[in-house]
Amino acid sequence: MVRITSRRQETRLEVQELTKRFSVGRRGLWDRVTRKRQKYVRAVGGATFVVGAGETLVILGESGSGKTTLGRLIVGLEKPDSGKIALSGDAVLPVREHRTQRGRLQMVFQDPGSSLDPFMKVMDVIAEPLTRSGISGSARTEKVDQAVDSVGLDRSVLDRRASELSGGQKQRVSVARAIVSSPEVIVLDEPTSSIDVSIQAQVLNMLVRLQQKNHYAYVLITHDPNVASFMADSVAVMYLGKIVEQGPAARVMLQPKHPYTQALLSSTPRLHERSIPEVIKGEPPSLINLPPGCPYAPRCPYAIKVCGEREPEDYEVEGAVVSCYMYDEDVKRQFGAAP
Amino acid sequence: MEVLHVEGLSVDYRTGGGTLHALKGVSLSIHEGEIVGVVGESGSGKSTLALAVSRLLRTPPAVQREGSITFRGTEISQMRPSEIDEVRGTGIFMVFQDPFLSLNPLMRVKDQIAEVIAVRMKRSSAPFDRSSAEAEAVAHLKTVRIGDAEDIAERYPHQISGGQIQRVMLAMALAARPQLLVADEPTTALDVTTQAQILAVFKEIVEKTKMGVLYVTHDLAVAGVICDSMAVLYGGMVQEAGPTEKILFEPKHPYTVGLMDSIPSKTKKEGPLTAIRGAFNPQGLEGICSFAPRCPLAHEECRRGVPAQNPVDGRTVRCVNYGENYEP
Repeated sequence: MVRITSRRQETRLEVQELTKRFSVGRRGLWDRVTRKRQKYVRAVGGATFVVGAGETLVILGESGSGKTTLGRLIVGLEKPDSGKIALSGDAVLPVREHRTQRGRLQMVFQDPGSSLDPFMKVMDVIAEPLTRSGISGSARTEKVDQAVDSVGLDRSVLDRRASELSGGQKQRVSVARAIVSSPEVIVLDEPTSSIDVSIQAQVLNMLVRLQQKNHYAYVLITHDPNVASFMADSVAVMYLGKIVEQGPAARVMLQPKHPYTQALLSSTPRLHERSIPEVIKGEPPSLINLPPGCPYAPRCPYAIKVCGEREPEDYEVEGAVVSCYMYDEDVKRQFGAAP
Repeated sequence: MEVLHVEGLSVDYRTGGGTLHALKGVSLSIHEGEIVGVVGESGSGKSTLALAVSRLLRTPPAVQREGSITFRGTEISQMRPSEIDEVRGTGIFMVFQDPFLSLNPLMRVKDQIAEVIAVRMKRSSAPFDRSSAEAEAVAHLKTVRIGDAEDIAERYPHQISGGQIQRVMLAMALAARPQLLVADEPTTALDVTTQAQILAVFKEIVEKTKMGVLYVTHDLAVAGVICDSMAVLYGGMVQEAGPTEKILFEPKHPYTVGLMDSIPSKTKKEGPLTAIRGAFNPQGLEGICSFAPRCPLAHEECRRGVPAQNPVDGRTVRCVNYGENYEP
């Protein structure tokens, strides 16, 4: 596994060869007797990365790419099949097995409408991560007040219920809940996809401000290349459970090397462009029992025989890691240079 | 030829809790082969407009307070349900945001398209033939670039993807041959790679059939790609309207400008994004510019009345900075 090693910041989160698959359908007694094969969905296959203090890693992908599962694995809401997740050096265990790490890792979910209890007072919502930390009384109130101030909400919201707030306010409450325990790493799962663009800009600015002040390591999950370009220090592009390209933000977003990254970025409509974005053929295949080879091969305009047979390794290309045969020396010699 | 003309349309939602003015004097018109975008955020009234034009608003709670909706010279907003049924499908066809709610889950794709063809034949008093209708259905599926059209035609909606369902909806529109297609966020639920494919098909079939399209979206970039002209809605009112070129490249209304600036187009190292302050709140907007509470340029004149639409450089702008004119 090639890894990008040039790190200026202290490592906060390290993920190595993380895999997770889900079984699909019931495998009853008869299926076992007849040795019928269990079907699996590969949600995450071999994710490896590091995130430093004050840095943002963006996981960019479409639906079904496994980006949300990867986020849930990081905070311990899912148990990986294999691989290692380390927080400033310590291994992360699933939530139920390791309560002490709770405060160090936090997650902001996509839809604040369903991730906040509508009947709880905002004050209690935000204070919840402190419950098992032993902080109580005035120290607790002070932390909650601080969190509310730093997300730019008026303290009067504390006595209201989450259901009375607007979408943008709810997402600010979610962020306040995430930062109240002074975490090291915050996983942000599509934090702005359910709110309007005019409010999105406010929330993104706030997230950047909080990061600059408190040096949080962010793992930001998004499908939106505009959000990715704004927030990212580094980017990992996922397709069907696999990171196909990973590297510094400017490299990946401006000079994408993997054919899928190229297609994803060119099919995004850009403001001030009037032509229909470039169209790539087909739709992602089913995740169930994926065929061997590169997951993108069936749609890839450059696919050659080997792409459908063996999964490509990771190649280091101009400071990024790309999983594509185009960058394999032998293949290059045989078929000419990569486009 | 003008396919749709909406004039001074106002729609209220009346509930026990009070009255919400969802649309306030909206006017727009759509010609044959023209795609008109209605761009707005939540609460702007864009979906209410799409439903009103398709006559699918639930009344009550919705009430059309004033205005008219003219479809090919006929006023349709006061038509009886039996009359409007004759217009639906073959006259006005609607594509919804959520692909999984738009098809009948118990019917095969080809039967749903054939049903539309049957309706079209009946209305034009032409004989209907089952097998030729099925062949036509497959032909339409090919036009919207569904791979294995014959195979997809045999399937039920749950067996195909969201992107394919939106294609099936467009194939159905081709089968119905409407003069007006109303599309409410048809690509919002789709991935960007699929969205690009659907947008390409959309443009192609509009060029081919010359139908007029009312395209509702929250995404200015999508509207810029697909629409010939657009109307930017805020607080139930058209704030700026005109040819796409004008609005996209030289926006005038402070809301249009703010909306464009909010779309991230730089990196965090280059400084914070220009955000619009506050959030939309329908309360307290009576008799003033709806955008005034959030506008960076707001001054006293903005609260003196509801600004009228000023013609400025090939488009209309509802802002006193372009002329101190107010609605009567």
